Amino acid sequence: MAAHQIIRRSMTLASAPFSKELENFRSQVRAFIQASLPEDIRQMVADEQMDLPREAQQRWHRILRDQGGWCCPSWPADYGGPGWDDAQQYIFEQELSLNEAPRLMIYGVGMLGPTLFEYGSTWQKQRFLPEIFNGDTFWCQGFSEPNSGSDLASLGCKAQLDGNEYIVSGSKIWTSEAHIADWIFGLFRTSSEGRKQLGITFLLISLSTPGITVEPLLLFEGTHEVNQVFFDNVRVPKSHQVGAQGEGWTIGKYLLGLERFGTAEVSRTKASLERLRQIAYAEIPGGTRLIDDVTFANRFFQLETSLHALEMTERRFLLGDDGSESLGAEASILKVRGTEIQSDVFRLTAEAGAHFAPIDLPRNIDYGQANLPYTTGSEARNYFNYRKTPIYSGSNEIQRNIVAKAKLGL
Amino acid sequence: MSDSELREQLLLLEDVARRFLGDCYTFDQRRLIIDRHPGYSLEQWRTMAELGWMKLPIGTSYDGLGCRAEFVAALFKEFGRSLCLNPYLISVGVASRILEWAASEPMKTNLLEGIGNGTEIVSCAFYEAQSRYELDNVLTTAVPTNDGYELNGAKVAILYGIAATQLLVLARTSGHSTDSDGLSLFLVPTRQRGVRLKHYSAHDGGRISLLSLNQVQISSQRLVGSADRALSCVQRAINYGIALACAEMAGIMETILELTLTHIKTRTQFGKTIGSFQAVQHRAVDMYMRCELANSMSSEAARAVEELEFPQQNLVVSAAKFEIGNAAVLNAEEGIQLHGAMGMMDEMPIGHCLKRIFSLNLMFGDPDHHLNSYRRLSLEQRVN
Repeated sequence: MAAHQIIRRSMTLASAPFSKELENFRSQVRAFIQASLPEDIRQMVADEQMDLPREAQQRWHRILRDQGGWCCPSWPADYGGPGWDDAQQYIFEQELSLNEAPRLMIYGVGMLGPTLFEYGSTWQKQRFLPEIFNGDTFWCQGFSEPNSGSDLASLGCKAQLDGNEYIVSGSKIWTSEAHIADWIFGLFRTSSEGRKQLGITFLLISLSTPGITVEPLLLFEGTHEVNQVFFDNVRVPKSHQVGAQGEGWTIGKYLLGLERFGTAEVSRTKASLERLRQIAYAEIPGGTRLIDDVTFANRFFQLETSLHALEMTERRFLLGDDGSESLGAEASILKVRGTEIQSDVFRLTAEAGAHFAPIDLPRNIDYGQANLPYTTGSEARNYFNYRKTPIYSGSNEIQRNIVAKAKLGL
Repeated sequence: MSDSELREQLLLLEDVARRFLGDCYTFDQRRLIIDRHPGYSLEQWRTMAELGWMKLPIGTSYDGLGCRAEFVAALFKEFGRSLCLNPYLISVGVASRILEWAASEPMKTNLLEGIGNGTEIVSCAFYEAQSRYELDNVLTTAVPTNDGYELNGAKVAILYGIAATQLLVLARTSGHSTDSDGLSLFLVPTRQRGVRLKHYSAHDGGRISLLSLNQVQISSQRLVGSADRALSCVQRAINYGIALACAEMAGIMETILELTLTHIKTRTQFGKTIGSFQAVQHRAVDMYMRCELANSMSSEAARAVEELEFPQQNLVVSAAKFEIGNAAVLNAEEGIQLHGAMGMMDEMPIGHCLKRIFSLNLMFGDPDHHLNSYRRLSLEQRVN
């Protein structure tokens, strides 16, 4: 295949400014976010907390919901969504990030919702979507298992049909937010015959079902975000099966595709870079501004240009005249580069703290004579924590496999 | 000592250190130790003193062993391999060097023996909040009084201040805030009136303090070296400390490589070990190559602090700190990545390797600082 057949042609919209209507839309969205975002929640986001406490997520979700369904920007109007097009959704997500508002509820709103629109039964849509829309139920995702990480299709958590119920046994691991969630959706093995991808089924399971235990797993920088979820003969109604038995792999791939676009986090990283800019440009009494150090400045501006290149690529992919429907492995490109740049921004921000960076500092500490801008003490912790991003949601190695196969025919 | 004798002695020390730390500083024991006050094991500190480790660099006139920096670096490589944290680097590696090079005979007799047997721990207060890594940016003042000096100011990055009996404080006795002349060193007891230390845990499990000096009265006998001329001595001691930090990073890089190789040789996905995939193999090879390069630079830095003078010594040391720091961070990040989600787990040692490397990479100047220093010195060389 010639290179020009591989590289996406669409370009017209990539670098053009947004229309006047869209910029008006942006102003409205921005004004609302700035006026409505509770300060305590904004602070958590500015501190780079990715997984907010349930209460904070819920509070912000409901503020957006009451604004005409902004909590679920990709959802159709029938289910309460605002009915925005791709460009509006894109701008809305940008403004959330740039104004330090939380990420939208990823598992329920971003992943399960669109999956049910595509594959769910009428009953399932009616049963589960309104609760997600209202912020009443929290979901988590059960994909990875202790022995099935990059080789996800080898998963072995068993679901055996017994009359009208599945009996589920095994465990799921690295499950983000399982400790604050009510439900888990995931992939379970219903058959071990034939190709391993064909024996997988997508199930929805209430975490309050007898037989389920959630064990916390600590990350090396000390936070509790992920868990291991154990299933011991857990009975799940067959009506909670999404799509057909054995269709789980297809559904899972569809769902992971949704996740990958979000994981580029271009606008989030832009906001992180802005916070670093504040630090770098701050006057230091008796010292020099960080940005006046040429070596530091070069690293900073390299990140800025890399991020810009990614942003233009994201816009070309999502809003280009080829249409975003034709996208496939391109999402992997965004995920790989997005998490690489994001990690480097976090590293540089942590290193900007110099002598304070290695210390596990409390907030608002008294530094003595100098009044310095880098005072949260959490920058290094964030850098450590965000090392998860090139690993989660399909490691960057797996993403490269996808690109090699799907785009390059290798 | 001939090169082959030196090598033999180094191997002997390495072997003893590795067995000792392997026995009593396992990952689980380390966790217990760093979680408790004061962040290192006093019992192990005493044993290390009995083994003569703290006497290594100290001159034979002061009951030391008078060993070259390569020996101390060999020990630090082992500290690195086991992620062992203690006040050795700052007290023996930096403070004892300054005292031996600059202090009066009575002060040396008094202190060096104590540092060598582990009963005296001296930490250093050089850097300030606004100075970043520029040693000549000092706002802390020492003003002459009737019988000595009065010190006022604030200092940061006091490594293991929690363990220190005394502090070597760099203060300005004349000149403007960024002049390289006009800096003097004072030996300040931590219990002195007006001295306030606030102790913090570091992300890597070590301990770091912030210091404020409020009308601290110091007698003239506590001036270390001559007034106004402390900077070059401090810089040289920092170079010595950097050589040790480089050795420690090279040691951690070995541990990272071992942990990663073990993981990729045993972790099975797609029906085979992930180490059988070429993409993974090539990254492991890159990690290994960086280990070899780090070892070379670390050895050269240890030799340089013994044999070279300014500016050649500084060029070698800055090059080593820049190269090893960046390589170590990269290897730690790659090690975590090749572990997958397991690499993010608190119960796995790999993440703790990154935390220690993060501290060492910034200690005594980050890679940017040392690249700048290297560039400046290199350009000056050309001009002269």
